[in-house]
Amino acid sequence: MVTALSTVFFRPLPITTLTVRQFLDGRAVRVSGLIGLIPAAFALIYLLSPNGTRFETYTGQFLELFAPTVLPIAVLILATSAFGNELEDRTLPYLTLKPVSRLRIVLEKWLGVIVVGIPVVLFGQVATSVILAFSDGNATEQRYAADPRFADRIPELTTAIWPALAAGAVGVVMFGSIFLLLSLYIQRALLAGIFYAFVWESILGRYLSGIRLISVKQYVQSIFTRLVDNPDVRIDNPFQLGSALIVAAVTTVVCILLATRRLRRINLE
Amino acid sequence: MTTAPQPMPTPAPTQPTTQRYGEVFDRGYQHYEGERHGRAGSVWALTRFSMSRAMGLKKSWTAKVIPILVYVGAVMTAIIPVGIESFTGQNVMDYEDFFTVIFLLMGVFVATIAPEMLCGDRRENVLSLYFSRAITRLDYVLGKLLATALLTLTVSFVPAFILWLGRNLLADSPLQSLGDDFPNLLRIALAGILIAFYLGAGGLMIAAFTGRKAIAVAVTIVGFLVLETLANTLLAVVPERWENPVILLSPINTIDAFLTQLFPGGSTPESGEGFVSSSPFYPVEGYVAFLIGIVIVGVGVILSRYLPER
Amino acid sequence: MTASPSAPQIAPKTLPPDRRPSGAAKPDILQNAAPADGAPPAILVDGVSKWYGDVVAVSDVSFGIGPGVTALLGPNGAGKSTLLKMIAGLLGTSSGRVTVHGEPVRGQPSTYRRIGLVPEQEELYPFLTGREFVRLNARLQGVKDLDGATEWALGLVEMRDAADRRLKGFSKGMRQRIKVAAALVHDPQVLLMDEPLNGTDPVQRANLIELIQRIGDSGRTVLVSSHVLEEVERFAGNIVVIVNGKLAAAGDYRTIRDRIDTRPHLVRIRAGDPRRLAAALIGEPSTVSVEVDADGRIVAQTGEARSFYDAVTRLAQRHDIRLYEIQPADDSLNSVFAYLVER
Repeated sequence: MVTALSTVFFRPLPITTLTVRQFLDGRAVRVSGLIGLIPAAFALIYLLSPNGTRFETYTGQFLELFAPTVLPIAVLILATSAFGNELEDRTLPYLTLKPVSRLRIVLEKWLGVIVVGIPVVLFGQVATSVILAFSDGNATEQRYAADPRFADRIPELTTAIWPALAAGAVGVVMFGSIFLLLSLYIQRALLAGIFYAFVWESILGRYLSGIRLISVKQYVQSIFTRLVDNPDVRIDNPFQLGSALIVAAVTTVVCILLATRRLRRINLE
Repeated sequence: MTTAPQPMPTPAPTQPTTQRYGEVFDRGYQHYEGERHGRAGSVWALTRFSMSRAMGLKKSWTAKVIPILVYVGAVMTAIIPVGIESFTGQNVMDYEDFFTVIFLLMGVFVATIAPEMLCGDRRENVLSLYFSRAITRLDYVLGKLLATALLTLTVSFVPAFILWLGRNLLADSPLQSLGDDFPNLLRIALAGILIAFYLGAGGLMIAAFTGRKAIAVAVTIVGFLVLETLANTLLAVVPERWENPVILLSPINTIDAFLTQLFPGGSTPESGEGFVSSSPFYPVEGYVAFLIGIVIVGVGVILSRYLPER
Repeated sequence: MTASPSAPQIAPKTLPPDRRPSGAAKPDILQNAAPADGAPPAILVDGVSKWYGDVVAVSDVSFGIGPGVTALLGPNGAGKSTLLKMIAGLLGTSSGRVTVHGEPVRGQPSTYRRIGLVPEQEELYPFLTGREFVRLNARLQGVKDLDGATEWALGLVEMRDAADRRLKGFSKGMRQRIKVAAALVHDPQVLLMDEPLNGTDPVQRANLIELIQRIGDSGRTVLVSSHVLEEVERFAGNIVVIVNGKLAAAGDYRTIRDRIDTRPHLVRIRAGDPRRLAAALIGEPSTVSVEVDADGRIVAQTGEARSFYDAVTRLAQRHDIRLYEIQPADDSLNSVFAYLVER
C-alpha cells in the first residue's frame, strides 16, 4: 500500500514521498507513536481509579504532560531524522546534487515531517479521549450527569478534543520546523532537543516567566486554552489566539528559510 | 617468538629444463607462537576498546562534552557539601540524598554511553568481524555490559567516595572517623556497583534494538522519566499491597527505595516530588536480588538480539 | 548515447614540478583542455585549496579537463576525494574556483543537470528498490520520460533483472552498478566517479570499464578516481596525480613517463644470445646498467631511451644475435605512479 500511495505522490513530491517512506521503514515512527501514546497509558490508569472529571483529566494531561514533554520529544525524533539520517548515511548528495532548489528540498522534507508527524503524534490524543470516554467519570461527574438540572455544570469531553488536535497540530508544525533546522546544524540534534524539552520547556519554563516568549509549549498551551474557552482551563499569561498563530507561522517560515540557507552552505564530507 | 624463515634455495638453472622448479615458503605469514590470553583476555580487550570509544577518546571534543559535563556535575555535587560542612560543621547531604541528586546525571550518562556501545557495531556492520573472532556472543554482551558498568561506576561510586573521604578527613580524628564510617563505604560501594550494572543493563537493552544512537538515547531518557511518572501515578491509585511491586516498575523509584533501605536513618522522599509510601519497603536483600535479576534478564534480552538468524 | 569521434583532450601546460620556480604564476591550464571554439573546459580547477584548521588537504591545484576519460590518482589521504567533492560542489573551496562548462558548481543547482556523480560510499536508501532509486534520480533531474530513461540506465549497467529487489539486499557490486545507473540516467555531460570499480567482480569490472570507455569516446567528460592502476591504464590515457594535496603530474601518463628523465628507463630484452648482447651493451654510453635475469632475459637501465633502442638493434645486427622481444619494463601506470608518489 505504501508503494502504491507513494507512486501517486511521487511525481509532484518525490522528496516528501522519500521522506515518508524513510520514516515508515525505520523505527522513528514507532518510537514517536509510542511516546505519543503515553497520555493514553495514564488514561488507562484513570479507568481504574477516576480522579477528577474526564474533561479535567483530558485538559490536564494536554497542558501538563502532552504540550511540555510528549509533543516536543515525539516530534523531535521524527524531525531530526529527516535530515539527520541522510547526513549520517551520507545519502544527502543524492538530493543536493540535483537541479532542485534548496528551498524545495527543505520544504518537501518539512512536509514529510508534518504529514507523518501530525497523525502519529496526535493519534495518542485521540486514543486518550476514546479511553476516557469509556469511563463515566468520577463521582462528581456521575452525580451531575444523573441530574438534568446540572448537566451543563461539567463540560463535555468532546469540547476539549478538537482544540487539543488543533493546538497539537500547530505544535507539530512549530517543533517540526525548529528541530528540522537544528538537525542541519548540530550532529547530536536529538540530545540538544531533549535538553530543550526537559530543561528549557519543562523545568526552566516553570520558574522563569520570561522564557514563555521563546517557548513553543506556551504557544501551544495558549492556543489550546483559547479554543477550549473555559474559565477552569487556564495557564499563566496566555497569548492571544491570533498572536500565537502569527508567531507560529513566522517561526515556521524563518526556520525553513534558515534551513535553506544552511543547506546551501553545508559541506558534505 | 617466531620461527626463522626457511633459507631460499639456489636459483634455478638458466637452461630450459623439462620440469620447472617451484616451491612455496611461509615467509610473510608466520604462525603466532607467543602467549595467548584466552577468553578473559578477549573480553577485557573488547571492554577496554568499548570504554574508550564511548568516552569519545580519539574523537573530537563534541564527542566528549556530555561525559565531561556529567563528571563535573557529579564531582561538584560531592565537593560542595564537603566544603559547606568544613565551614558550618553541619551534615548537609547524606549519602542517600547524594545518590538521589546525581541520579539524573547517571541517567543522562548511561543514555549517552550505552548507545555508543552497541549501536555503532550494528550500524557499521562490524558484528560479523567480532563473531568471526575467538569471542562468543555471550562474551560480546558481557564485555559491553562490563564496559558500560565500569564507566557508570565512575559516576555512581567515585563522587560518592569523594564525599565519604572528604567528610571523614574533615573530622576531628580522621583515622578514627574513617574506621567508624567504613560500613558506609561498603554501602556506597554496593550501591554504586549495583546501580551501575542495573542502569547499564537497562540502557544496553534499549540500545540493542536499534542501530540509530539518537533513537536509543531518546528512548532511554524518555523511558526512565515515563516509568517514574507512571509508577507515581499508579501509586496514588493502587491498594497498599500493590505499592512495593509498582515501585519496581520504575528504575528511579526502585533505586530510591533500595537506597532508603541500604542507608538506615536516611531521609525519605518529600511528598509532592515522589510519593510517600505508607507500607515498608522490601528488605534490602530483596532489592539487591531484584537488581541482580534485572541485570541477568537484561543480558538474556541483549543476547537474544545477537543470536544467529535461522 | 551517440558516439562522436572527438579525441579526449587534456594536457595542462604544467612544467615538471622540479623545474617550476617557486612563486611562479599558475600554469597555463586552458591551452589544451579548452575546446577549439573558445568555450571553457568541461572541468576547470583554478588555484583550488582546501584546509581544515591547520591541515591543508588540497594545496593550490590547477588543471583543466576536457572530453574523454581522465583518471584522478593519488595515494590514500592525498586529497583526491576532497578534490572530487569540490568539483562536485559538495564541499566549498577555501580558495580558488571550480567550474563545469564555465559555470560554478557550488550554489548553482542548475549546473547539476550536466553532472552525474558516483560517490564512493555504499549507503543507499535500503527501502527503495533499484528501479525506484534510479527513477528518483531521474525525477529529481527533471527527466521527462522517467520510465524510458530508467530502463535505459538500468540496461547500461545490466541491472534490469535485479532492479526490483530492495537496495538493502544488494551486494557491493550491485550497489556500485545501481549508483552508476543513477548517475547516468539523465545523460550528463560530465561524469564524476569516485572508486567506481570497488566491489565489482572481474566480469562486472570489465563491463564497467567498457562502459566508461564508451562514455568517454562519445565526447563526454569522465573523471574517475581509482586505485586499480592496471585497469585505469586501460581506459584512461590521461591522468591527474595528486600527492600530499598538491598536483604532482597531469596529462598522458606515457608522456609523463618520458618527462621523468631523471629516472632511468627499464628495458627488458629477449635475445638468442643474451650474454653476448649484454656484454656489447655495457660499452654503450646510453646504458646505465645491464643484468641477465633468471629467465635468461636482459634487464637494462638506460637514461636515453631512443639512443638505447638504436644501440640494441645495431649491436644485435653486428654480432648476429637474434632479437625476439624488446619491451619497456616500467612504462606502466603503476611505475609512473610509484615514482611520483615517492618523489
